[in-house]
Amino acid sequence: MLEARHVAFSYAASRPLLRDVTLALEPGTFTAILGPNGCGKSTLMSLFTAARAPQAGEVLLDGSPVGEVPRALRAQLMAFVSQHSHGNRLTVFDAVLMGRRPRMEGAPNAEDLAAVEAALASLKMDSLALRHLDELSGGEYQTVMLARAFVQDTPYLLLDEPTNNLDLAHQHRVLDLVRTRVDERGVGAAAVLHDVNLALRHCDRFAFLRDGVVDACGGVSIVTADEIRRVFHIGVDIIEHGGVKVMIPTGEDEPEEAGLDGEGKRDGA
Amino acid sequence: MEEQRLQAKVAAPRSGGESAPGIAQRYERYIRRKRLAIIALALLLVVVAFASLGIGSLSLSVKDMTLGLFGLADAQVNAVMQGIRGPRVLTAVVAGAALALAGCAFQATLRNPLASASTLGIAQGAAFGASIAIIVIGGAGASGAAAAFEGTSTADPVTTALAAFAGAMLSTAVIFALSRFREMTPEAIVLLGVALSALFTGGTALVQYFAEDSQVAAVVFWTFGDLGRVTRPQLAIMAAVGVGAAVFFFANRWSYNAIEGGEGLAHGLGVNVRRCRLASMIVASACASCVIAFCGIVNFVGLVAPHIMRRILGADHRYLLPASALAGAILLLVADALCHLIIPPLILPIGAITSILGAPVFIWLLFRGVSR
Repeated sequence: MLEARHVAFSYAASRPLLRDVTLALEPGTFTAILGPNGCGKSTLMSLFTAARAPQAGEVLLDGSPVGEVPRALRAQLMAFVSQHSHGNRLTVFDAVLMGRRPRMEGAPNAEDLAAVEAALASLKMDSLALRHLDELSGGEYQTVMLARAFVQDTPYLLLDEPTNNLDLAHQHRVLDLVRTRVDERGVGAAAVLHDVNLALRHCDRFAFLRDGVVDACGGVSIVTADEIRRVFHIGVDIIEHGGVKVMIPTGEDEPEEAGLDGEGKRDGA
Repeated sequence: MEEQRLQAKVAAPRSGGESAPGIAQRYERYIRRKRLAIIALALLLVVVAFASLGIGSLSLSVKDMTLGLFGLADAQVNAVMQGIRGPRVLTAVVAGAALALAGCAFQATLRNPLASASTLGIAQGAAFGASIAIIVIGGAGASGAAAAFEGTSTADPVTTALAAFAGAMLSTAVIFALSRFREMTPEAIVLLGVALSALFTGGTALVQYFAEDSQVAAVVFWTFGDLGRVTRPQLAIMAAVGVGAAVFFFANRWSYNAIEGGEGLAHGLGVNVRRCRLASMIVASACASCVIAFCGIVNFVGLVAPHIMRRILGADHRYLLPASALAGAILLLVADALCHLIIPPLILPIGAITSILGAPVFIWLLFRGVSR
């Protein structure tokens, strides 16, 4: 289990970002991390990956503080698709092969090459294998980053806005592939998502971040019109279609209620 | 035991490997082409080296030159090959490769195509150090202005080289010291390098303002760069540092690939970005400083050689590092040959020729999309 226990983090003391966040990512679940822009979703991801150390509380990877797990081992346990990365003159195949690096001893072997081949095929990227990253479209590039995380073949998979830049079909395809890994291999996955409907379709756990705390966390039952209104300040209806909840914005902006959002204003959110 | 428990988990999920054959084979073919390109570069280096060995008033056959290098020809040929041409060519190869490797490491770890010894204040620091040695230290014992035109002035060449090395490492030392207090982004490091370059250039100008004409001439002569002034022990030091740096860089080849992709990505792959960046900067600075301290300022090789290879072979550092080293060696050899050939009895300053030769090649490559 990968869990954050009462973690706090802010970039400037005057503007607390994450105040007290407790969130557990369990094997075999796919958690959507939802919340408004700038609420600290990506920062929470960086605490999970130990790119940053929490200023209070702790992040535990299977019981050990994540910062103390040796880097090479950590990279074999946890794959991360970052929101920001840069394309350069590396071929798609090389970029994905990099995901095998934490497991490689010296040069890549046939198994490494086969894993890359399989990942590219599963994402329908075969034809781009020898294209340079700096020649790809935004969506193609994002798909390569996912393929890289897939070949890293880890029990935990963290995705920061993995569907950015992807067209509708690719958004679903990518999250479907994550879902398959969760169901078939018991991977514990978490994704920062902006599209609540995408989350409802593919994820089984939901965590809403608001004002530096987890406002609500749990199964699909917690995704309610009230919760969305409280977190995003927008009126919505939630209906069911084919057994899946669907959120429909009703378009009315809900004014922030002073009592409820006093803390949010102090955060400058 | 905690680690073992976690280790056990690592083996758990496995990836299914079956899919249509083809991609991996195509990739292997692509890799084979890269290897062939590197072998071709190595052969080109040998050809250029022999062509360069042939430059001089005494014309020799390839056989004589080879025998002469090993001291097996007649005494005169042995003396020319072992005493003059051999060391000069070897210096060009070692210096070119070392500068290119350092440039390649700077560009990768700072994720900046402009990073090189001359943009990070290393070359300017070396010039400042050399000015201090020649003007302040050498000037104290001012024995004669005439000696100044010999190129190393009244200052002892060893003192000059040491001072140049110290000056060259100064900017790295400052960057390193500051990074202990505050985390520095690659952009901040490059900007700091630019600021330090300006500081050193200003310092050099100020020192020169108070110097004798002859001393200024000596400094200018030093900065022109000259492969011929490198002595055997200096060549040995340069080669040792270069080989050590090459081993270090090559060991980090995967980290460079990851860092170029972004810090989050590299972190997720188990790379300690901060440590790798600082260690690479120190090694690359030492490598470039060593060359500059002994040869004088040789511009552009460190910047352009990795760029040329990046455009042709791509940014995979497994192949980019060796290819850059070879390209740097070839570029410096050709530049050195031109220095000797353009106006025969004169030997033109190597630093100027590398820029004049490298810039058009670079511009041509920038504008001609390279096909794979």
